[in-house]
Amino acid sequence: MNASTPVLKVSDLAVHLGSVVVLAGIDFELPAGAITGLIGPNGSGKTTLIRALLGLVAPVRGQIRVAGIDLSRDPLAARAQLGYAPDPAVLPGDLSGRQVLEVTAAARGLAAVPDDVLALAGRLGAARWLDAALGSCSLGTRQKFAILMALLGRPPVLVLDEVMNGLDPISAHELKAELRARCREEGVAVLLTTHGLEIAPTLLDHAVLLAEGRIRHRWGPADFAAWRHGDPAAFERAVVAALRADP
Amino acid sequence: MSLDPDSLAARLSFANRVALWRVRGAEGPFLILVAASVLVLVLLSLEAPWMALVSAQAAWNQPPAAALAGAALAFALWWHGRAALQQILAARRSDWLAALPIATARREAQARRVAWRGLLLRVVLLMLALAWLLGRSDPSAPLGLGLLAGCAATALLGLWPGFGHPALPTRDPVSVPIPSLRERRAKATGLALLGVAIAPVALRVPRLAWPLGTGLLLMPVGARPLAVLGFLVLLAALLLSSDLIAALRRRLAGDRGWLAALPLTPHRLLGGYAPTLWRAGLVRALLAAIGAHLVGAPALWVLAIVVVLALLLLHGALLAFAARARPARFPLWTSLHLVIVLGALQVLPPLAPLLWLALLGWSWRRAMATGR
Repeated sequence: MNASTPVLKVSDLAVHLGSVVVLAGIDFELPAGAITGLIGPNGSGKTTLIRALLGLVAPVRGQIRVAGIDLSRDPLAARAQLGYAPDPAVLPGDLSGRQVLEVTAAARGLAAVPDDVLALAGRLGAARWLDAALGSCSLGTRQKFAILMALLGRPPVLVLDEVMNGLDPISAHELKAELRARCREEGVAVLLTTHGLEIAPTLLDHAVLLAEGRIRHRWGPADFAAWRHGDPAAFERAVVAALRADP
Repeated sequence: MSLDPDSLAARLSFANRVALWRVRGAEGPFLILVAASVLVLVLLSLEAPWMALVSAQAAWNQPPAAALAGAALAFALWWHGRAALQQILAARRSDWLAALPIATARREAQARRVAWRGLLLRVVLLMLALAWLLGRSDPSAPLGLGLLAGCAATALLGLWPGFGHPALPTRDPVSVPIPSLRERRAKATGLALLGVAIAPVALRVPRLAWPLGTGLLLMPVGARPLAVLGFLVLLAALLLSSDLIAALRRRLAGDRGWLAALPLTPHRLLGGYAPTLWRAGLVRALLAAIGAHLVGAPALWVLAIVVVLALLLLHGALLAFAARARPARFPLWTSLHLVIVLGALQVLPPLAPLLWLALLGWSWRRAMATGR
């Protein structure tokens, strides 16, 4: 897929929860082969936006296209193109990591857990917990299995919500390397929400700043290239300045 | 192996639970034995009121009333099954499989199968109990046949594709506090806020409709209206007490994680829940007293009922608190204590109160242990 081709396109999206306007006028694209950061203060609507991208909350207006498929018309086909790491807290505590991956594989129409996922489990340091009940695992270990769920089946779009939380340095390094490799070799588009702005300049190609349910600012590859070779704290200052500026 | 993800997850979960029970050894068979004993005790205690209900001159045993009772039972069972289905469907809107490419219709069909199996299990157990009671009385009693027909009708209704439709409207979570909870929180301070988080009783009252309806059915014909009312109030007090302990257990399980690292002694922690428990206990004790009085119990009996209910609540709360680190211990300890006290009542009644007090002391000591 061409690097400039949007794999996920959101147009004029608005989501209301009851009488509360949570998102309004959201327009953005995820280009193939790039990692896009979704950044914003608590309560800015990031989680709702992700739920909308997954088809778990119905927008009142707008369109979401995943790999050219209209999410509202064919949610199943659109969801097959998406890999999502659920909140580790909602993973079933009475199943083991391997069993969770088996169920995920079944949902993606695979007969078994692919070898590449098991190999990645090894690199993330989760292999020795594969047969332990998730309820007995640490937050970091459950986070690793949530990540493996997202990567299983090699979907072309990855939606990763705060996945760096709880990861040890080696696992975080391995995950970043895996995401970079998938972007480079398979043209995967990644949407990554994070509050850890220090990792952004080295990992992201694009970033979208969400505040009070609207997109406040966007940064592109040129900005990140400059920050990568300059002051590592510049991105953090840019985010704070954009948030403090009048909308 | 089935490739339906929900069925596969349920199957794996069941296999894991069976394996866990095997590891625990005698605990599983013991719990089953205790549950069976309790069931037999309940059935034996139902025999006398049942005989009164199906006597030839009893109004409930006349064909029109029996048909009405059967229809009411069918409706209650159906309503319960439908509510269970809606609960499963609501949970699936945001569970760990929600974002995977699984057709909504497939997940709904699987949820319907789960709810149907639950409904069928309840119906079969109820039919077995009714068959046993009918076997001990007149097998052709219209009331028994009406209730059996109601059960069968519900089981068939569960097979209907429209079962559970239309779906109840579910709302996505918005962080707006429950008004009544907010008001109560405003009045409480410090650790007492822990107890306030136990859901207010008003939210649980609607769930009493079904057991109270069953209780009404068990009332002998010709009973004074005030006695009927008293019986229902007494039953409500018991049900609300059991519900309070269940709510406390849920709260303790929820609070354990975030309170574990705080420098709180068990005494102070229990003190946080105590004000709410006292108030809730007082309401239930008052209800029990009113109920017992309306039934026509002498003052001494009213007092005895209130004391027994208060002690039951205290015992339940202490056991829930003692098992806060390992919630699976609660049913084990409760069953064990029940068997000891009821066994003593059967064999040597004067010993029962002493044993009960000893068990209360034991529960208090366990509750005040560190809980690690």
